[in-house]
Amino acid sequence: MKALMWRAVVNGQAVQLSVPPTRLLLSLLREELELTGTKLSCGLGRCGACMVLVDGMAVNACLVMAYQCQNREITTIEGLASQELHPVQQAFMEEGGFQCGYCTPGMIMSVQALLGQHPEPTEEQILQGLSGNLCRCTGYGGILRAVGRCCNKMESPGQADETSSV
Amino acid sequence: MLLDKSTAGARWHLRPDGMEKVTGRLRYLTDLKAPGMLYGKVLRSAMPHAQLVSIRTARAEALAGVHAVLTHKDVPGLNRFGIVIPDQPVLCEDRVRYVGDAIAAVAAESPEIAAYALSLIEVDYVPLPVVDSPDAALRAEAPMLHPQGNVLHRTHYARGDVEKAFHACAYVVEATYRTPRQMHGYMETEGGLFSWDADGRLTVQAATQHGYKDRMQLSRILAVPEERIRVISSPIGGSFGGKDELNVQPYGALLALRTGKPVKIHHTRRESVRAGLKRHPMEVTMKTGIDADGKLVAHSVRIIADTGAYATLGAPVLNFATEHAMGPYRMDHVLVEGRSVFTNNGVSGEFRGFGGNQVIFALESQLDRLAAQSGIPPWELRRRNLRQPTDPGPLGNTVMPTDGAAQVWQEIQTSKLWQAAESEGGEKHVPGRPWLRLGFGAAMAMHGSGLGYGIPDPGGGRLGLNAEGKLEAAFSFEEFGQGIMATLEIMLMELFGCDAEDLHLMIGDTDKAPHSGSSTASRSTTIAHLTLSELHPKLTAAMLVAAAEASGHDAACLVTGRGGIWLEDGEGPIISYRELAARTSGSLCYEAAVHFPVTPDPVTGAHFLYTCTAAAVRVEVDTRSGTVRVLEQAHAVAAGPVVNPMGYIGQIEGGASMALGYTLMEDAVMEEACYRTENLDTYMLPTIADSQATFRIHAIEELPPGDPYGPRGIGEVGSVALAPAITAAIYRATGRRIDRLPVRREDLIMRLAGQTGGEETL
Amino acid sequence: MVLPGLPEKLPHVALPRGVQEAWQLKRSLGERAVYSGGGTLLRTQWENQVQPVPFQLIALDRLKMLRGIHVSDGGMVEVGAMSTLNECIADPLLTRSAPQLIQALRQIAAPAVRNLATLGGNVCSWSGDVLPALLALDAEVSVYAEGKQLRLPLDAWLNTSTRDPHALLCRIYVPPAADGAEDGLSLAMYAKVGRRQAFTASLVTVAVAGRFTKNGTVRGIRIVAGGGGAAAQRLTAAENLLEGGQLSKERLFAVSDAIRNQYQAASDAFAGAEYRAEAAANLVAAHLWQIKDFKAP
Repeated sequence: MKALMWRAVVNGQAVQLSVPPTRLLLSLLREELELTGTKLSCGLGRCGACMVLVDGMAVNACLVMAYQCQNREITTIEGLASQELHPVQQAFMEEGGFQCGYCTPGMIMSVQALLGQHPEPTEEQILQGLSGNLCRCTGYGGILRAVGRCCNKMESPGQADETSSV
Repeated sequence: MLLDKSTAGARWHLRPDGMEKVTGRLRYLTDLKAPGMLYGKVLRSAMPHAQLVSIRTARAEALAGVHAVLTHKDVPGLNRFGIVIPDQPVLCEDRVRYVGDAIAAVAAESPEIAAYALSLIEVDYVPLPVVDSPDAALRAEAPMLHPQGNVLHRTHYARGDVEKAFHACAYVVEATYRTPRQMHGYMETEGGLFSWDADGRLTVQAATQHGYKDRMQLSRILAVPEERIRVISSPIGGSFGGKDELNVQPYGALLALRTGKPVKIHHTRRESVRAGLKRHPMEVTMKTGIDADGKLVAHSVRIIADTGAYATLGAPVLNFATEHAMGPYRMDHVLVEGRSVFTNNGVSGEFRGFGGNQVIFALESQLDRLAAQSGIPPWELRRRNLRQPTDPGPLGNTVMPTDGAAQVWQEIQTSKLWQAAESEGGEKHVPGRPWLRLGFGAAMAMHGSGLGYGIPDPGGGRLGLNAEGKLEAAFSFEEFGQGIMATLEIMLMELFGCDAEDLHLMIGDTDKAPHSGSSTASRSTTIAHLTLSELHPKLTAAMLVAAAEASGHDAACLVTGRGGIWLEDGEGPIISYRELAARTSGSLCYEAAVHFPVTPDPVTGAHFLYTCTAAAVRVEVDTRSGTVRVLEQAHAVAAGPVVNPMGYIGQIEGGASMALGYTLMEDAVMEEACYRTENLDTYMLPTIADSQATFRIHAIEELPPGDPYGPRGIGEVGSVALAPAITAAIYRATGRRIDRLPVRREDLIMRLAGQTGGEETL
Repeated sequence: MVLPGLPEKLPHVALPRGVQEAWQLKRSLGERAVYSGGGTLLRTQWENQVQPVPFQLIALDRLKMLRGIHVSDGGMVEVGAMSTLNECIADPLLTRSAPQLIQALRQIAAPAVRNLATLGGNVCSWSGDVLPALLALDAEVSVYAEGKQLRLPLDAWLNTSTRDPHALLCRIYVPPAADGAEDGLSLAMYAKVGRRQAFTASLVTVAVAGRFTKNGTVRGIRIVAGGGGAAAQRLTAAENLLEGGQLSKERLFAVSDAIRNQYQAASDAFAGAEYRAEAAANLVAAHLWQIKDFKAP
């Protein structure tokens, strides 16, 4: 097997690695570049914990082989914001859009991709847009409220629409 | 109180572990690396039941890049593990009993080499007959899976005379209920980093829900004193009971010992499915009778639990199921007989709800059937049978008085969901789409917290002013998402009136935190509350004395506050915590040992503190395909004061999500004791699209006067009552009774002809 | 995540620049080589250990003929096989011309997977959920096989037993759906029953095409069921009951029976064949029931 000189821009930095062409992007990120924010969970693209952006598009890093992302721009959770929190991250903090946090980097990247496509998403667009990200802790309530907050929508599914007790 | 961010008001508290989690900076134990690290992998049995005739490792050992191949011969101490009964081999000697049984462990320079090395290990099996169900295991001719036979544990509880009492009943229903083999589905699989230092001390960095217990088990396996083992067990990417028992730790420790290098193990999802624990599938047969007024008279229960190949916590789970089969209801004549049965079907063990989910599904379904037969409305039927605040517990055990049952009943009764549903009455249709049926239903439960009578349930912690000037609290608990860090932070801020920045929380490290017991059984909030109630006055008194000396003020005029000690009248801080620490040189440090509240009555497994919950739902059934959607949920929870609103909401919503999966889609299907659902492409976890229901939480915070135990744990209670609420709603919508989970589409599909006004063609 | 094998045993990756080159390479290596589009199905199969990791991947990324979506002869939309599912969903030509195909694509996998998965990959998986929609639309394909470019109907290609095992799917031709704008009302429908609300394998997938003329006559009816491990099948008995006739309630129930009796569903641990056939019949019947009272303007 002939090694590939993999070149990419990861979180704004040019990187170059000699790797087997079928080496998974997830492995390159976690093992070679020590960017462990992107997580391994199911290994076959069914849970979204490994979500990253490649040229702005959300992809499962466990499905992408090195040759498929040659010369691309890759953004991981670590590259989302440098000094302060990105608005999506801030919203997750404020609404409790996470508990154990393991699905959170992938979830946030998917939210970022969703809002990139639909800055004011409908409920349907949110549900479809995040349908590839599993969360076992929250039941998605906190996540939906966080997304709603990002879009300045205060009425989002899962949030009570009256505040008085019954 | 309807609990959400706005009603929580000033109590809304951002999680202390939030920043690290939303930025991806947090290093989970499976993210760790060390220089010179090797990768460990475990060879699991190719057969669900077989004799092991020989294990040949020469080819694997010869592979370049392999540093160690271990078998049972390489276990220095006890070649067994198990929290209660150590009956599971670390590395099998002569027999395998499930497809996850471990036969060999390999350490190599890359995970690829380690995986390839596994394929070079040659194992000769002689297949044995596969015991693939409790029925098969209980037959006379079944092979014995363990020396004592195929029954791990039996329970028997009786009061009154059920057989006679059934004759006095106006209505009797009998049915058998079946519940699935649910998988925990934590997003982070099992794994960690293991290293021995030059002094022969082992550091284990791997997830568990009881670091000290892991330390004890490893000590036995490695034949090494506990003091030479350090377990760092936090933070964890989800557990739900699945990581309490040992999993990868013995292999990591043994490989690190043999190779002299740090060893990392990280289960693939396939490995996790294969080897990991599952919820006990249960077959619960109930016969329940009421009199003409709807009073429960007689209740006979038979529980058969499939505990799989090894004991782990199978016996306590059966005890818990036995106790929870009567629910929060009064009934004079009861018989419960349970058996936990060994099979070759994986290993069943601890799982959020702990045996309650299964029997509560059955019991609540029974009440709905009795309601239908008697014509008494289902929610009214509950009301007529609710326990009173000072009643004994389900097994006649003395319990802490609680009015929770009546409170959650009332909260659902007056909820928007229920009021709207009742005013609409009966089955509802959607205009223009006659195949859509709407229905509503409700169920309730009480759930015991703590480990129950007979199991030691100690806890404790440490509180002090450390050398850096922080108020430091140390508990051996683990953070796996449930929010223990936030709970501790909030409790401490409320006790001391301080800022979050004044605190240092130390958890999940056996070197640094005293034994607090397991982070399970909805117990840690209570343990923390009891421990801090004892330690806070001691530390405060000592700090105030020292502050008085330093400042010249009278200690009686001083209070703890933000940043340091303040004058009672509002001036301060007059001395900062940092300055105080300098003066006291970290000598202000106290430990407390507490015990989780236990019933005084010697009833095995019985609990003392209970939380209560009721859930109501509205569902839509699409009878073209038999697909169910939950549209709306209301949950009432009586668990005492809400310490952390964000955490409380999260645990109830999250628990309900797990219950939704259990009801509608989750089943770790096994055929001939082999898993057919090997990853998340075939094992269905609820997605966000399955979770669009409007969700309201009614939190009942009042406790009976004089209750000293404070806030109860709510980690499990959100998961226990939803299933029967959903099936009650399905019945309302379709007239179909569901006695088996997950709900099968086959059971709800209806030929279109019958619904569009045409004749049924068959 | 780990491909169990020594580094030297990991697949070679070839990135041919021409269709003929790709085909010749595949033919010379035979079973040892596998075409790779988005790679999403392959990755799943390797992780599940149901397919061995091959000696050689023939990556189709550089084949220009497999890219691009544009209008073709006869108003068909010509789609390169390497078009990702999301590229298809976003394409204005396809959206206007074949909305039910878009509906099918939206229900396959999840958004991020659809940024990698290709239309060709879904077709070549032989049980892909897009197949009922494409067959209902009477789609055609262009494949490179036996050393030349061939164009043929999709259902002919799926059913040919003497198919070249190394054939490379290049382009898919999607005829415009009969929307009935001039002549009445479109009967187009697509439905997929899964095991949860999103991101699920299919238990059964159904697609209907055709139209209702101004005087209430059914024309050009095609009913296709598949998914869930079953080959996509035209339900001709039901079609014959409908074609050229009026849509009455009695006929509708006969159609439902015909579907139930003709559809050969697969059976597995998650649902039986009878259930799948029943669901397919119900979905079609419900769809027709909803428009049976259609009256021409």
